[in-house]
Amino acid sequence: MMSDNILEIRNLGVRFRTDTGITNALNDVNFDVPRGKVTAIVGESGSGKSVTANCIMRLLQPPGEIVTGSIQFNPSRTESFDVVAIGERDPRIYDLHGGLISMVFQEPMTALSPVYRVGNQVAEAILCHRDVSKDAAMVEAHDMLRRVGIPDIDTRIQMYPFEFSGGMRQRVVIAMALVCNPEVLICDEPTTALDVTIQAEILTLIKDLQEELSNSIIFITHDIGIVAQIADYVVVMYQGRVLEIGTVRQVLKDPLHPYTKGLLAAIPGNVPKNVRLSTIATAVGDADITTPFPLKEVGEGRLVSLP
Amino acid sequence: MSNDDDLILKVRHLSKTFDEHVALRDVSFDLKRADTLGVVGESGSGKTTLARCILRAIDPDRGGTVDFNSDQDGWVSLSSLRHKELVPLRKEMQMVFQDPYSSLNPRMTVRQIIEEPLVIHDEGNSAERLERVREMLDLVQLSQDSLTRYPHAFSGGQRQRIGIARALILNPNLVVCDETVSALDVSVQAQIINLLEDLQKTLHLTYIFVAHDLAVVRHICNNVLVMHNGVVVERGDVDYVFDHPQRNYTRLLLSAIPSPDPDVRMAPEDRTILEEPEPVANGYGLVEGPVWDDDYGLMFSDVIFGGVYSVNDSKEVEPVFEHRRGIGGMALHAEGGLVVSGKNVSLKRFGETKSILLLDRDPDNGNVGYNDLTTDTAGRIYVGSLGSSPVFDDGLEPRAGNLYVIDLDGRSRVVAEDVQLTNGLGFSPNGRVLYHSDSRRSQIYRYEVARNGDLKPREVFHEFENGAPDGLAVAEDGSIWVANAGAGGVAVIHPDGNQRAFISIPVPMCTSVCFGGAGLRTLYIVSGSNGVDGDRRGGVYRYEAPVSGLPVPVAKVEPIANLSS
Repeated sequence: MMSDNILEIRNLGVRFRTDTGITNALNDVNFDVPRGKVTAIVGESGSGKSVTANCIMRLLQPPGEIVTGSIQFNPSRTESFDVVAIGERDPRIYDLHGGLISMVFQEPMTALSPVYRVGNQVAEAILCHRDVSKDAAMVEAHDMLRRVGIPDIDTRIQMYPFEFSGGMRQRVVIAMALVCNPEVLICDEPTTALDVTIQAEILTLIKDLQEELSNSIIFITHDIGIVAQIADYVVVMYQGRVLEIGTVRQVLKDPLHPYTKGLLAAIPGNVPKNVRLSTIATAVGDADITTPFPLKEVGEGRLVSLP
Repeated sequence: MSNDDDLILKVRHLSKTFDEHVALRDVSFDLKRADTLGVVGESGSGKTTLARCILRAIDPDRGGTVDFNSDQDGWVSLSSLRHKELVPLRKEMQMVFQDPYSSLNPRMTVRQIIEEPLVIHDEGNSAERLERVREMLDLVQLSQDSLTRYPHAFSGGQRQRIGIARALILNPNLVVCDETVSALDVSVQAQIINLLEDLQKTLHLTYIFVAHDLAVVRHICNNVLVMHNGVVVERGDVDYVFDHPQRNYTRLLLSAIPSPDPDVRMAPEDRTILEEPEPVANGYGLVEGPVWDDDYGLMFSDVIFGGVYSVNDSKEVEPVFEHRRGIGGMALHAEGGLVVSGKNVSLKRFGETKSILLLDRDPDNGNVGYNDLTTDTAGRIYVGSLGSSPVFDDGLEPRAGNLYVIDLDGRSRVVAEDVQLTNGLGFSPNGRVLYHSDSRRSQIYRYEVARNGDLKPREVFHEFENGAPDGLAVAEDGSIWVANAGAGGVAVIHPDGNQRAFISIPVPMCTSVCFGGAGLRTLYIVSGSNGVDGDRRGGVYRYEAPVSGLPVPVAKVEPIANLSS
């Protein structure tokens, strides 16, 4: 079967050079992002999931630097290019940010300006990437805000972000991210700061829009419940490495790597009451999870880092 | 009050108003020593305000009381003591916060942070205090060389351990954990939860655990308070509340948890359905056949004791006419009266005593009578027949019935067969689909409707896991509102077949529903006892629905014969 990937990440290595020495944040990271699907990157803090996202967006800041590898965008198409290889002044960098790929962050106020009206901010995202009039951009912004479920838009579009609740702000950010119909949407813990009820609404919205617009999503989270509900494919990361790749059912129902098993065992809902929760350390036991075994294919699209 | 010794906290009528905003309204509960009480709700629900009022971090409104069973003085009233008098009691009540980054002073060493409560309460000399700090480090499993380091050198989980050590160094009895594990990775969260549970056992701590993660609350707590808009909407044993939520808000919270099983789809309930149904009439055996009329208000029958009644907006009940028991379904007729189904289907004109037969019992088909009915826009009547009575013991084995249509000229025909226990009927907004409850199979069927009123072969539209589908009504948006008999409420089913919400009533036997009131925005819910003699637990509830109901058309069927009453 010919696989159709929107992104292919190969041998990606990132290090941070600091006063106290060199930290390898990513080591030989390999995975594909299939077109039109939701790929979840799951891992704990420090696993490298956000650094990976920053590399894809070319947002990695010093002291971080990409030392090895490639990120091929649209590998099967003629307009394919390597995100890592293009120069700082290459116009494709500008296309990357919001045009081809856009991003939704955990805290919506980091993506919204406090001093501009909501409608203008969404319209600005259009004006940055497409040659349309201001009026036409406002019409599109209005339409996009309607699609992300902002009620009473004629009033809301004139308001400032501080007048919105957390869930509504995140809807605005999603509208900004999707208004140029990017090929890839990266969601970096977009619901972590929200109540569980609002989280459910935002997850449903992201999934519905993904089905409608058929773009590809990279969803970064540490919450296995969210992975189970939103992902088609899962990439498990730990200490800057990829440990396991598969479909959501393969990884969550039949985990192969001891670390993944440990991660699943630590969820409070998965053990009976009055039974001590497993920590990853206790669940992993003596198994070796630190040696960087290269990923080996154990089935189609099913990879695991084991000896 | 002998059993008071087991309690550590008694909270009564606690309220807190910030300017005009009521953050906490009339909260009362008891807390047992060495228990863990979870407080759950969304942001703004008042859960943190409750915790802070208990500890007098903020002062509650006048009138509410918080009594604390202290080691030093026995029962004391926290809510009425002056702040100075509270100081010695604060040793017994401590708090662990959510954010391990902002709750520790970055310019103090770990030793200073953990030791500070001892300094404030002037306990021990420097050497004794250092000894206590060292004990605490062991207790929370931090290494002794942490003493001279600063918070920034620690991970989130380690910082939370520092916060816990600081809270426990004064040997408190009551510890309030405000979202203590929310900011932590799942593995670190598991470590901290295990630590809190271990400490509870060794130190006999009582916890109030404020959290929005319901899986964590279920794991660690015995009891739970569910809060919404400053009010406790549900409380009780945490397993019972989570397995049998009685309130729509609790169900909303639970339905929003993303399951870690990819085969269990998250189906968050509709946020607009949060109000609770209001009782408007009660004292009946088994209420059925609700039908709305602008003049009469809601009309309903009592299956067990007989009679047809109406209830108006002021909750005043009037008899409409007398009738023998057993009316299962009703609809308005164009000639000014009600089509009623029981032993047969007949028309009762308002103000007349005689009944006019529309469809007689069909003993050749093994029918003992008829149940729910509905009408289409042409005025035809659809009614299901029964092989045995679902309510009265007629000594017959349960057997299947049919679905009939009565045409405008009064002739009838069978349009569907093999209905185990026919119940609610309702058309989709465009009239091209008919929904039909089969209570014994716990299924709702869906039929495509032909122009002449015939039905295509049915498909199963929705299957109930709990209880059975009974009477139903359809709303303008196409959603199907089904009385869920045995489950104590109304299930709201989306046209795609998925349940979207559940509205509970206080009795299990929910029998039927009907939209009425101005703009058909009121959902009337009727209920019954389980048919036990003399049991009059049946009643009528009303509920402001987020959508309008579809009007049920009047029947225009021509009567074919007269019957004496």
